[in-house]
This record gives sequence, C-alpha cells and structure tokens, in this order.
Amino acid sequence: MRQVNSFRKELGIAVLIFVLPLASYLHLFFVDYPEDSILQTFSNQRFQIDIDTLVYHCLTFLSYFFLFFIWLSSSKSKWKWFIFLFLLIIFYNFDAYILEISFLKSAKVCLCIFCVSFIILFAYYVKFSGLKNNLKKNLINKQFILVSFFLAL
Amino acid sequence: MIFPKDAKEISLFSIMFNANGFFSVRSNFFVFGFKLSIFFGILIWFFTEKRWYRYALLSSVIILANQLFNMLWTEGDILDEFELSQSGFFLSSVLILLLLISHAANNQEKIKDWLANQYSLVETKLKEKYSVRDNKIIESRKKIEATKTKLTDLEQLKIELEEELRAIESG
Repeated sequence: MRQVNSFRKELGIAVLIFVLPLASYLHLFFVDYPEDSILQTFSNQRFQIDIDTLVYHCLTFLSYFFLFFIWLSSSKSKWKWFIFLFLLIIFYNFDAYILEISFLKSAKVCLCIFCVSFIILFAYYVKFSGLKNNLKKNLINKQFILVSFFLAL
Repeated sequence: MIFPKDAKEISLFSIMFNANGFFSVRSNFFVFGFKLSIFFGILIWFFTEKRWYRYALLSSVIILANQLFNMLWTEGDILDEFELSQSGFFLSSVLILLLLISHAANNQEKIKDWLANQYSLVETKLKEKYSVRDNKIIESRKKIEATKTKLTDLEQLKIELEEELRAIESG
C-alpha cells in the first residue's frame, strides 16, 4: 500500500512540475479582467501596466518559487540547501519587478544577505564534504558551488 | 549593474544585446540574466534528479529556452507572449512521454507492491513453521539445564560424603 501512495505522490509532483511553468500563460487564456475594475486601475496607477501583465509576472515568480521549493523539499541530497540560493534569486527578482521594498533596494544590504547566505551554505559544504576522502567527488561539488555562486551573483 | 548607463547595444560573448522593447539595455540584460539563472537551475535539477518525474521539468526547459531564444534573436516590443503556442508541439510530445513513463512507473510500483506482499507472506509462513521447532529446542535446552543442575548437586553431595568418610576413617 505504501508503494502505491508513493507513486501517487510522485504523480502529483510531476503534474505540478509540468503545469506550474505554464500557469502564467494559461491564466492569460482563461481569465479576463473588466476594463474598469479596481485591479485594473490599481495596476495602471502603480505599475503603468495592465492587470494581465501584472498577474502574469506575479504568477511566473510564484510558480518558479514554488517549483524550486518542490526541488528543495523532495531532494534527499545533503547538498540540497544550495537550492536556497535559487529561491533567493527569485525573491530578489520578484522584489525588483513587483514588490520594490526600499530596504532591499540597497546594494549593500543585498550583498550582505547574499554573503551571509553563502557563508552558511559554504559552512554546510565544509561540514559534509569530507575534504580528504574523495578528490574527484569533492571537485564535482566544488564546481556545483561555483555554478551556484555565479548564478546567484 | 556594471554596464554604461546610456549604452544602446552591448556585445557579450559575440551576442548583441539591445533594449529590445525595454527602457534600457541594462533592463533587458537583467531580465535575460534572471531567465538564464532559472534555466540553469532547472537543468541542474533535471540532470541530478533520479526519479521518473524529472521528465516533467522539460516543460519549463522548453518554455524558458523559447523565451531566451526570442529575447536574443527576435525583434519586437512584446515579451513572453507567444511561447506557449510556439512550443505547443514539444509540450504535447513531453506530455505524451510523461503519460507513458507514469504508466510504466505505476506498473513497476504494482509489481514492487506484489513482491513485497509475497515476501511478507513467505516470512510469516517461515516464522510459523520454525516457531514450533524453536519451542522444542527451547524446551530441550531447559531440560538439559535442569539435568546439569542435578548432576552438579550430586557431585557436590559426593564430595561432601567423601569428606565425611575420610573424617570417620581418620577419627
């Protein structure tokens, strides 16, 4: 019985992974906002874009955030906390596009948050890597760190 | 960003970036960089994931690749508008592939479940069979222990009687 449930869980994850990136596009097909709605006015005044575009951007960010969160929660690897960097990237871009939190706009604050996150993740890496045991394996992990680092930058 | 503020075009790794409908080249590059980072993230997930549902990630790979391609090599003021219809063929192919893989995975899980049931059934039968023999072994061990105790007592009694006899002979 346990095995069947695990298949259903995996099927649910597969459906979510497949549909989430398309959600923002599908929304444009299925939802139609009235021209004089409050949301339309708010979107025009606050962001100078129509409500369809605003909801499209919000859904895109949320869906990718959720997608990477699924990766974080389903991964069994001890390196899974590096996915946190991608969540950070998505959050910062969401802030730059939509939220515009003044506190986060400061480059120094962004850099500090990034450095602290990276130091925590690097400490996590050093703790679990067993640096002297397997050189090849550690090299791959170091490459993974470098990729994460540059992507985060 | 490190790009000049009033730049009209930027050449990076022989790829030309212009405003492409954005306010500036910097905005265009910012959006492009974000999409690229998400694209690489999903690729890393795709190549490191071992379970069957990793093929569902191809939908986001296709959409993002199409968006990046349109940003680089398509002129126009509209962003993220036609990717769903453009990649419809690939998406439906991925959907069909996923349905087939999920069907195979379901069958595999059913076989695994059946094998697990059979294994537990055999285990139970074996336990039932060997529990009778185990009980007999335990009983015989108890008997041997009891006999050993009796023998030890008799030996002790023999030693005591011999000592008593020696005392009588000497006395």
